[in-house]
Amino acid sequence: MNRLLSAAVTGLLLLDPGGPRGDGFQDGRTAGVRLENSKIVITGNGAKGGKGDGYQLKRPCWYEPGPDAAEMFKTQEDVRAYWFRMNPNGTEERFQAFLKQFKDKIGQPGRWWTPAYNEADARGRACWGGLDQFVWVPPGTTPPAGITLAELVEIARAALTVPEPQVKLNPDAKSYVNLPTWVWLGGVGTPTRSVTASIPGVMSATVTASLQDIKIDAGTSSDRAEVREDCGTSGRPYQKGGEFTCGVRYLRASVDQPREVYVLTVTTVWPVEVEDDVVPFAYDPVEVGATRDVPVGEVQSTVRRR
Amino acid sequence: MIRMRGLIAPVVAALLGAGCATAGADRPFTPRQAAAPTRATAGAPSTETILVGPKTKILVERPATTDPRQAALLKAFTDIYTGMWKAVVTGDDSYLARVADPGGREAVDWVLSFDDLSVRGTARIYAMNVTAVMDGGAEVGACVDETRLRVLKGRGGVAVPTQPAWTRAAYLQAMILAEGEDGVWRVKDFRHGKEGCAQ
Repeated sequence: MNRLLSAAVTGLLLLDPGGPRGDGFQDGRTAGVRLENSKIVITGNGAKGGKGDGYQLKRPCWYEPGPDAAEMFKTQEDVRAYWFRMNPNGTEERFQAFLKQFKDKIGQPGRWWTPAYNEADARGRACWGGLDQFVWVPPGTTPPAGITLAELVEIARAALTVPEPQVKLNPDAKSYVNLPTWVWLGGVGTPTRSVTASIPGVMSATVTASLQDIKIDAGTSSDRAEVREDCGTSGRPYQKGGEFTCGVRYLRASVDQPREVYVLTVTTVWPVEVEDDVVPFAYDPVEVGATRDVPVGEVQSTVRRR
Repeated sequence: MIRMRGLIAPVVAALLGAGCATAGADRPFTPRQAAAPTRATAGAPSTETILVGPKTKILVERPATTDPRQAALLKAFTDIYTGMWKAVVTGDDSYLARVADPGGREAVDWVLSFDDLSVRGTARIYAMNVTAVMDGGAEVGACVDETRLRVLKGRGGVAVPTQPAWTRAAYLQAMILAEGEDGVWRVKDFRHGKEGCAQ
């Protein structure tokens, strides 16, 4: 509920006074960024629908450009009722003295900057708590903890997601000792994912992840499985008579394993680049994995003498 | 550049329109799940009884800590929570010294929502936890059990026939706190969750 409107609905609150204070905790930590009190806009095909890698912002709160002097003065004037509620002994004279700090800025070059934070970061709210409510910033300067282009890149990086791979196997339901199990991916779609974080009219940063490689973990030791990782960007779909270059050849049956299966993991590797190299960076690739249970049996053959 | 502390109630009251968090679904969040900063706990937790009125009290189960900052944060949570109830029960508005905007408005609205109502009984704070500390900010969460409180019509009056929903189940209450230049921790915002505090 908009807190500024809350006084207007006091009549409704009387029906059920008290109770938990504040908004509910938010759900949906699928992406690494959920902006609060922010004007930053996040767009791009990598911003949703995929899976992030838990990348954390170095600092999950910051100041960003906010209202100009006239807007801020009006905002402060408009909430005078709260000022008097929170200052029971306040006088009109003191309120005007309080407003003066905002009035004095009208006509001066610069604008107010206000704090924002990443709600998806467990430290975000505490970090925001340590910032001032507003900071007056002359043009062409950035205050301490003010957002920079490098931090905007960080936000885009934290918001970056890639599709969760669907592991395709051949044979699919069950494999056998010494039989090549081909591995490839489904559902990857576009092999590049981008996120742009922008403060409209101020600055913008884009990061792009490109699917480069996949890694295969057979789920067991090398004496039980032989892994082939010449897979290209998304594995090699099974081709009858084709050369087996991407997948696993299990050398022992899985009957002695937990649940009698090997747990095969395929990880997609997406190196990350910053568009136009706006800031120096060295990001680790985004890596997202998926698993499949692979039961491996033995082919029993009987040799009969004729 | 000029930096200003917003709406530290007794000193400066600055009211900023921005800062309204989006309401949404509660997420399953418990004090145990939250990322805890380094903790320095030792010894047994203590239980304190704080009277906020002749027939209203708060039981506070506070974990032991040897870290003065942690202790100050746990005490700040307790002081603000009990102070708001004291305002409801006795009209004492000294809690205003412990609020800062925009949470200050939330606190004021919460107290005013009682209008001519009051409460009687016992509330309990337990599973207190400092979930994050960063520079001059912190978040403290605790389970709050208000199921033994009864809302009364008027101070010392009779219980209203339909008691509010919060008298039926404990919930998680979190406070985002800011340390003022005077070293006092004030609540700057609130969050709550419905899960994680079942007994």
